[in-house]
Amino acid sequence: MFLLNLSLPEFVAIFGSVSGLLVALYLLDRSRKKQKVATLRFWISSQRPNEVKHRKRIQQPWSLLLQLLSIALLLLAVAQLQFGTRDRTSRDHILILDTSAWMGARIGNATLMDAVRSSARSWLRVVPAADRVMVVRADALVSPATAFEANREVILDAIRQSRPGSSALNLEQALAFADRVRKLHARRSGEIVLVGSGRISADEAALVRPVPDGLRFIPISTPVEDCGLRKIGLRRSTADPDLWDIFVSVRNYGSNSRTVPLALQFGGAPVGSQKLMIAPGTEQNAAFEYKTRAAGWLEARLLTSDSFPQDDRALLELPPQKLLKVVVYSNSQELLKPLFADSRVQAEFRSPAQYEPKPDAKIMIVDGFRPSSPPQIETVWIEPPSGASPIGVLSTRKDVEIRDWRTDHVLGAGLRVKGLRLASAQVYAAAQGDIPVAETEGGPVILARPGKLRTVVLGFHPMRSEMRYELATPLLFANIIRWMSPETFRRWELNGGSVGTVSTTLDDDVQAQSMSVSSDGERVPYTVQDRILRFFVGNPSTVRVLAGDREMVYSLTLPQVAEAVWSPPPDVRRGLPRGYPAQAVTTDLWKWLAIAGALGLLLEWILFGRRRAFLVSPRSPLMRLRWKAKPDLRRVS
Amino acid sequence: MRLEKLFLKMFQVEPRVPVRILLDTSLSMNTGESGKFDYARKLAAALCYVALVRLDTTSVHPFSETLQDPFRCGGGRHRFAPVADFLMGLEPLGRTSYAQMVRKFVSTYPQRGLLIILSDFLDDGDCLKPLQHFADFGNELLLIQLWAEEDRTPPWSGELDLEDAETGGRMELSFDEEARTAYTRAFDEFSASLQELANRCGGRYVSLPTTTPVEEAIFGPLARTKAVVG
Repeated sequence: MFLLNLSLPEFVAIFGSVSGLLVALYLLDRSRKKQKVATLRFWISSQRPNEVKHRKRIQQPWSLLLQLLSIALLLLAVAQLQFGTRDRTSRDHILILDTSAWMGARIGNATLMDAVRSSARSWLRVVPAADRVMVVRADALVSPATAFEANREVILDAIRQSRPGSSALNLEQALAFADRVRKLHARRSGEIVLVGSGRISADEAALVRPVPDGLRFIPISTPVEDCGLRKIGLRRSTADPDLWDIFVSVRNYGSNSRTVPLALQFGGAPVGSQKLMIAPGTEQNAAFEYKTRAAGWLEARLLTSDSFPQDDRALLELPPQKLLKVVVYSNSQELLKPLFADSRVQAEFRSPAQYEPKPDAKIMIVDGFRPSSPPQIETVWIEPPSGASPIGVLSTRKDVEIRDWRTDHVLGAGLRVKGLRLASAQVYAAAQGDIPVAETEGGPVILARPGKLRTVVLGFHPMRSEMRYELATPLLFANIIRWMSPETFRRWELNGGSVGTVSTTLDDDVQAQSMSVSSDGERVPYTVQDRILRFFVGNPSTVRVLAGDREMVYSLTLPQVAEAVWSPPPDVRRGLPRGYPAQAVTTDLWKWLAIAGALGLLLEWILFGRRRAFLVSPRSPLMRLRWKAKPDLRRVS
Repeated sequence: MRLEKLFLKMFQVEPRVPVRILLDTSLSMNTGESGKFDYARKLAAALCYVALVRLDTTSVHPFSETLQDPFRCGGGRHRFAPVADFLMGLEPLGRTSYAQMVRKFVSTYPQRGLLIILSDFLDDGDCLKPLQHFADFGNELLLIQLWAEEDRTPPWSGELDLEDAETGGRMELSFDEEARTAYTRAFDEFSASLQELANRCGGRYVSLPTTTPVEEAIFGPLARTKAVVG
């Protein structure tokens, strides 16, 4: 016989406290009630000589004993008194279900996940009814589905609702989590049961780490042949901005060599195909080129049929190649045309007579004339006439030398011409916030003014001065256009891959504070260490990384398939157990104890409680019947 | 003499018997939940109203330890308001002493009459002898014993600490069903002794629990005594 919920000292302490309170209340209840009466003459005749007692003495011991006994019975019911021996065999197990992406592979009509659920249910049937089980789902992340639970319906429901994820199994993390939970929360340690295929990454398989004690592995046999896409990379060619260089990586996860056709489609039209012969357990790359300015969806597809079709197709969204429209108002158009010969720039040359303050363009070049009205778009002024300059002119100097370039700013990046002399140049008065790009002894001769409409003023004509022979001239204009319209020169990288951790190397000039990593408009946590950007994505999504003038789009829609299969150490138990130690037989008494306690209190109330006062009260129906039996006292004499 | 003859005129005068209402205002009338004192005042008011309607004259004599100043009422029903004011102004005070009250009453009001005594008759001394003196001096007695339910059957049980409302005397006792029966028996015996006294003196006795409505008491037990309409 033992108490399930309380230890004996706890029971004694609680019962002692309750008994003390009960006796105190009993003495208080049995104390004399004060009453004011009309006369004492009739009370004297009803008084019995032996009835006057001390109030602190227990006057109705049977009542008190009955109350104490009833309270003891109720307390024993709360403490769950049980006949038999204490069950020391019930344990707390942790059931790890492999919910990695690989569990979505098909064998016949069923998936590997169905096999995992079936094995988990088979194991649960062997577990004794008193044992508690915690269900944990594990892929790249570990998430408990239940607490330690003895209710089999809850456990079966958690098993039933487990679905394959998108990432590979992180076995080490799952086992560490289970071991930690077992140490912290389990009443008596049971087994850690892993049900799954045991496919893990090659890196994890290479690490030999100790597994927790009491680990049982129930493997799901996976004779699955699969070839799948691993990665797709797209970037614009450095030679031709309209040309996309496409790299596709395909891996054979099976045990036989296979030849798989790889096809590319853009907007539903085929753009290329290759046949790849891939040895088992190896990866092969294929390269394509495709020229387009248009935006659209690029699809890579393995034209094969295997048991894991989820990794046979990948889709990436290609951005359009935008053209920057520039209007050049100049009388010497031929001089300026070489400066805007880039394919990303669409330059339109007009005479000053055709001047419009707001033409259909992003940037305007005003070359050496006074416009009739101020420009309403971003403007580059070249040698404006006297009084027409948007920025104040300090002086016009002859034979001046450009001494300094603002190379730390995007406007002067890469400009390193030394000793360049100009026959004549306007020197400008820089205001606060202005950016001097090129400076002479007397002041800046190229000045940029940020604001809502960005403005750059050149105090000399670059194509009529000595500068026309310098490489710095097209670079200066390229810098000006990049400063005014940075998105035109943004470098694009598109990557298709699987969910999980993504690492990429950043450019040297990228500041970590100015970076942005987002998915569907929401920020994604990331780290930058030694110029390596790392972030983690647990679900299929598209992540955009904006770092300087480089935009990287990661379309992480491919399932992450692990390459290796875990080989458990010899001390790990395998397969379903034959059985666990039988559970001790006990009899629950709490219901009967509760009923007995309640009956005891009811009996006490009937025999000694206020029910007596109720029965003898003059207002009670019983007493009214008694008065009716004595009509002579109410009748007029 | 206008007619040179002697005439003898004969008149018949019906003597008027004074009606006096003695109202107990001792503290014992103020015990219990039902309020014997209020009940007694209502009953006295009702009796006065009946007398006023019949153009009779009555007087209300409050008493506790001794006899207090009376209030005479007469002259018709429109004079009822002063009676009500007088009764409303009374307050329960002091202990009951029938011996002193009767001595003073007899010496003050020698004329015989009908005495309607509204009281619980719970005097620590013996009230029967003083009441007998009333009858001995030729008064007709109508004893109306008012009692609350708890006066006859106390509802309490267990250990009791009792205090006399008039004297402040205390008594501790254990009260159970047997004691309750003995108590009720003693109360009934006391009521019976009052009734016997009234019968012996040619008077009348009415026992009225305060649960009886006043109008039911007037048209029921009191009407049957013919003290009200007789």
